[in-house]
Amino acid sequence: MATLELQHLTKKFGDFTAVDDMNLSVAEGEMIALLGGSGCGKTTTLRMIAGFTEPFSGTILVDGKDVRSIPPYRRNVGIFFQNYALFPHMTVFENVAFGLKLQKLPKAEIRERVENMLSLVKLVGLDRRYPRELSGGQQQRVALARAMVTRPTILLLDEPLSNLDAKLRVEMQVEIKRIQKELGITTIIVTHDHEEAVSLADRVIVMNAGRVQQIGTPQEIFDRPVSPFVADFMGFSTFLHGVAGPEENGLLPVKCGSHTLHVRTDGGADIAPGDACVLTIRSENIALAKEPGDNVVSGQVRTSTYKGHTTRLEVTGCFDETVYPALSEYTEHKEGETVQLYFPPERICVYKDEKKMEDQ
Amino acid sequence: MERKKQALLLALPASLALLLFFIFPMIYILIRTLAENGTADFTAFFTDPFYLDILWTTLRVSLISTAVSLLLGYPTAYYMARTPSRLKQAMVIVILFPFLVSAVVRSYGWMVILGTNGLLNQFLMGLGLISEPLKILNTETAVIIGMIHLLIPYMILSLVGVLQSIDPNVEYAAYSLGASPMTTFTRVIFPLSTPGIISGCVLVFTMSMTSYVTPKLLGGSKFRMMATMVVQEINVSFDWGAAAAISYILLAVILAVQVVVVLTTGKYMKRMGGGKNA
Repeated sequence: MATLELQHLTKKFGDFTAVDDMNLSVAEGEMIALLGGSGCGKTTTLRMIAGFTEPFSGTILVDGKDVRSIPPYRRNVGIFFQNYALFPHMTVFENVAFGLKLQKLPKAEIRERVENMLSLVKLVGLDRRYPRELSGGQQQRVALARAMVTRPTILLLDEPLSNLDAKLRVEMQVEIKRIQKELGITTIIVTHDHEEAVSLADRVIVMNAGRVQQIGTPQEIFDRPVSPFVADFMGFSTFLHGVAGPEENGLLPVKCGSHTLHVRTDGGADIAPGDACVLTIRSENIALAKEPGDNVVSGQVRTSTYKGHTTRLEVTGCFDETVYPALSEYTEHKEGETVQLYFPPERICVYKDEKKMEDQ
Repeated sequence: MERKKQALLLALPASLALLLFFIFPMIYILIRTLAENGTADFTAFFTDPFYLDILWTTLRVSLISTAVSLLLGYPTAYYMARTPSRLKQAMVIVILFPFLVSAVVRSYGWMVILGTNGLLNQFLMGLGLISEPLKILNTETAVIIGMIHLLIPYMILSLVGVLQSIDPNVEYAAYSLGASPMTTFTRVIFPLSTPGIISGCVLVFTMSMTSYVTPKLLGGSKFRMMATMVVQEINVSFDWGAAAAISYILLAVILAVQVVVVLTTGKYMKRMGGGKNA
């Protein structure tokens, strides 16, 4: 149980800045997800917290105390490695018991805690196996058990569920969250899967190129990403470019191609009339419309993919860009068919088009 | 099956050469010795303290050379294994460099350094640390020094390969679980590197047991090891029977040591399997 605070944390490798002025404050028992593509600095951040690598500058505070001078083996930070990093010469039991033995606990207690942990990760009966005799998913769970059994003050999980099959992944998500809440371990989980981040964490941090893009609750990040980059990362797939008009009654008209979409901003968007902007909307939030109206645009179906609980369409002809609605009802649409799509104003996110400025 | 046959065919030329120029002569020597003198040459070896002393000297020099090579080589190998690839390549070249110079030349090099008026004595006397020159050349110490210099590259290269295959994250995992660098070494790195330690030690031990040039040139005329004794029996005493017996005893001792090593560590090595997790 501890609080964790990162202040202006920066890491450089030569000229390359892996983590750039990162600030974060994690409450006791909170679970934070670090979300970002490969090379965005999430793993480097974990390694600095664990003490494996020195920050270039900045401070790491655990319970308000600077831990920079504390070696990794005295930090009591549990870490799960993406490649598991199990001890290949030790059995499952020995792997999990390693940290407890170093704490010089009585044998009976070690046995009890290891067995409890193994049953928690559903590895009962495999305690005498060696890592190479286990499947990837089993090894992953051994690594999880090993990281959690010592009840670290801070738990760092680097892509803990990436190699599990879909069913086991959901099960383990529930388990990790349950164990984490039960033991109240302050946890940072690194992932590139936005659904995993949203379903596990109390707060999500989206990183790109070493910089924090957004910190917020899963819902904030899922529904209101602060930039097109975050939106793209959170699974938004329809992006439209347009020019803003004057806001009226909390609705901002944006002219995209030959159509105008109204976006509910309620004065919250910092966009002046005439500004170039980017609109984005989640595929699930685009609906079929029966008749023309405000924010209803028609286009032609190019492809239609049945996805089980949704049908995903690729629609062109509405705007310059392609639109990707995901319709929840089972509907059959042939290629070339004309559909009318409704874009709910309160579901559209609008941003100033920074890219146009950056490109110059 | 087809592949197995092909592989056998590929191994054939080397196997034939070995059989013809190594195995047959070895058997021939044994048969001739036994036919001429019976087991007399062998019993003579084991009853004569002179010969037993030579065997003991050979074992002692080899064990010390192996142990010192391991102790000196391990940190170097570990450093190399954890170094970025370009610097590591440079280090491998530096380590292989002595192989370009023959053992004879290297031994003469050590003679220049270790002799009574050699560089080492001149240096130490110049500093006033000693008043009389140290007698190093023509002693066992000189042989061991030369041997380590000759054989340490084999040790380092055996160790680097294994240490490199240990995932650095495994070390970090040990730290995160509260293991100090010392504990991490004894509980994780060292056990995981045993395959390299064993192959390096067997290699260095075997090569020093059978070495001839180094003890001959650096040990002086009164210093004898098994290989130098074989040559002495042939060239000086003209006792081919004794030479054959010494060769066979040397071979048997080396094989015995290797069998013991394999038996005591085999179970452990098997357990380690591929070394890395899948």
